[in-house]
Amino acid sequence: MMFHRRLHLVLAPLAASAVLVVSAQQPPPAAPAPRQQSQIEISLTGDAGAPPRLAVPDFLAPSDDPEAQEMARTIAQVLWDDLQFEREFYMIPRDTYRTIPAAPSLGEAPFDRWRELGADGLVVGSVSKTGNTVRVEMRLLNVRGRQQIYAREYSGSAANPRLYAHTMADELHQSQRALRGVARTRLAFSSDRNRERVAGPIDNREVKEIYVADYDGANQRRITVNRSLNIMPSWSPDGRSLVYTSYRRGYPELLISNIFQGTLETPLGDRGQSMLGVFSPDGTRIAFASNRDGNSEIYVMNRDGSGLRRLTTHPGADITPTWSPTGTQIAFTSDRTGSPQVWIIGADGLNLRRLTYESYADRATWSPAPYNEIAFAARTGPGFDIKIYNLAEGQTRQITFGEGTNESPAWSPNGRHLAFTSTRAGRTQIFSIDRDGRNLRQLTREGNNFTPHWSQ
Amino acid sequence: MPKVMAQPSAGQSRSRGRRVSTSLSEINIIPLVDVMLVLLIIFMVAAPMMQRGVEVNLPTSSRTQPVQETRLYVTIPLSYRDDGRVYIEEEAVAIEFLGERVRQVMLNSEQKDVFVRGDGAVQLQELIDVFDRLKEAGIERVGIVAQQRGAR
Amino acid sequence: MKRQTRLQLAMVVLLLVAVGACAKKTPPVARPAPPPATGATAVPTPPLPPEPVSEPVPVPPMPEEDEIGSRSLDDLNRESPLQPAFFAYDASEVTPAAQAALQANAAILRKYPTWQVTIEGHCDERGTAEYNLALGERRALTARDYLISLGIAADRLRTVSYGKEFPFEPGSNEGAWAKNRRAHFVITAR
Repeated sequence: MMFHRRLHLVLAPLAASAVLVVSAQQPPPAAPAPRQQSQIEISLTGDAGAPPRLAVPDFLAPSDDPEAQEMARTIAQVLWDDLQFEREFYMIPRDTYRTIPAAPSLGEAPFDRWRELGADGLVVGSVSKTGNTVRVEMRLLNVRGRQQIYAREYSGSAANPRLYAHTMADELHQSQRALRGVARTRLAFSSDRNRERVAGPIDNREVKEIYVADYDGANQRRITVNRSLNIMPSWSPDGRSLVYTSYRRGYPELLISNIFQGTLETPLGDRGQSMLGVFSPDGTRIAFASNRDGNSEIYVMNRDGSGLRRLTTHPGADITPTWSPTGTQIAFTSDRTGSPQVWIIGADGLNLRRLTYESYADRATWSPAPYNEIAFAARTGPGFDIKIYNLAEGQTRQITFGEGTNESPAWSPNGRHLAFTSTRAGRTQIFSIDRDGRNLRQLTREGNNFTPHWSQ
Repeated sequence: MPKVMAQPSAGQSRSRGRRVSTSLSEINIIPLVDVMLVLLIIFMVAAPMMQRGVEVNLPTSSRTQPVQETRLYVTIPLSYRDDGRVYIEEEAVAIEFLGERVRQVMLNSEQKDVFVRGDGAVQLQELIDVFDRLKEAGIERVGIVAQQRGAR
Repeated sequence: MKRQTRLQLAMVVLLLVAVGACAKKTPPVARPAPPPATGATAVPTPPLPPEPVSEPVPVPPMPEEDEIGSRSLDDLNRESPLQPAFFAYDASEVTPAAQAALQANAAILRKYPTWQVTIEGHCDERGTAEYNLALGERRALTARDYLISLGIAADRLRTVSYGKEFPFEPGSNEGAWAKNRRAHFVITAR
């Protein structure tokens, strides 16, 4: 043994120099990354079958500008959160690498230390600021191979640093995992948080207004200001408009708010009461419920209110429509058998069939491709839980289990997540959860928040 | 394949410089040295590996149970005192990364037990350092590997 | 130097490290509002709401009838002479108690033939927000139909459903729920 040890000591430095020589024989380092992107067709891989392990240290901010330094920290943290959200990578917790020194420049990562931590990939970046313009660089490095896999560069305003992180996350998911991420999508919902009262003789009627937020609950912003009941928002596919149910005139009507122009449309004018509008996947039509013909039925119209067409005809109540991803079918809630259940009908009004056999089911939401599933809220006891019906298999599975009451599911545009409301943390708040019931996140905390809808 | 570095690191420039100075008339023996070194190292490492990686003098106990299955071994060598590194199986890992590395291993493992092999001369504080990190990784049961008293 | 142990000789002392003991699983948080023992669905006659509704001769506001004619709409609605009609859980049938309330309301509407009324349908919090809009609508329509059957002109009666959006009583108990399942009358014109 002693002999072996001594040899080891002697040979170790020799081995190290051999490694250096070997690396010197490899092709010389490439020229600095081209301006826009140097996209090499390599993806990061992890151990066999396991997701690659990624670390995202704080971005570098070469200048002393405190705002740039703050941005550098924010971008790294938000990027880590975004990448964690899709569960395509094993994200190494950021507090475990506080002891790894920051690299002096983007190319000089201490790869040995990152390897020791178990990282397969490393996302590094830098933030530099000149005037009001920010330039953000991002590189994905392969720790084992000590090489760059992916690089992007962005410039723009310093107003919303989170947007840089969201963009990077979407591009990393697309390039490395062929996945359409949702980091730049948004949620619309209604909230009573500003605690205003509806004007009128009856006390304690709290205003609900429509709000939008980033997918992770950040940047919550109020959209409506009419001090009445505004509920059940639904995004247009281009993310530029919301259709929602407003009681601003004392009865429910559909309003379309074009949130970037700040304009409002009333597609139905004064023609009856209508509620629960949802845009078709191509954005040209709106399905909704209305009692214009006596009791609540499902209708479809063009976005401008023309081409109105009634789909259901039954003395039972038909409400809460949702489009299939192809726009050819509509799932809705009907109590024609005595209890509310989810039914499906063709957008042409044909081929009606019942989907659920629950004690009470409502608010169907149809997942986008490649999943062919319908999520809904089902009564499972005193309250509701979120269930998912797989149309191909005809099987129902449950993803929440009696913690508070859980309602109003809405799919993310990639079909991997649902937003819903739950009372599990006290008041009614919006949460997101993955389609397998994992990755629960609370997105709102202020007031009560209802009926989320996820943008495309 | 392009390198990561925008600016070549110090090590690279040094080694490249050396290669440039190599005269063409000489026989390039570097590949030969490479091959020889690689072979040697493999043997050197493999020999102690047959007895589970890093070499330590296990403490002895008269009440031990045979090891039933293969589980994750963490080894605390005496050199931990100097360099702050323990071993997960055969890989040296700085103590501050131990918790995270064990968590990575345990991610898809039903069995959440870890066996600690420590030199008999390891101090209690050093053992507790390791326990702290294992606890951080969510490990609930730790086995201490010992040698049956009287066995060799 | 002592020879290193061979694997087959390696023995183990299992040591239980006190790591968070067994606080592994936290029990799920109980639902905030467990239902009373009355059972789940299909309760045709739940406990009657503790409201003056069940009184058969509901004309207490009548003594101030002269005032009624002269008060402002807001004052009128704040202490409305029109009584709410209450409903059973998940139902929109007019119960005997609700019939009494609606008959009293019809009497007042006949006495003041210029009044116009909006009937609001409300639900308790136990249904979903979306379907409750339909249920509240059906409650309002049922009350409206009953008033029409008593001879009140249809064009004096509008309906609107608020689902569970505007509860009258906060709280998650049968007392509050019973008060929130109602057709509520708002006078909109005199």
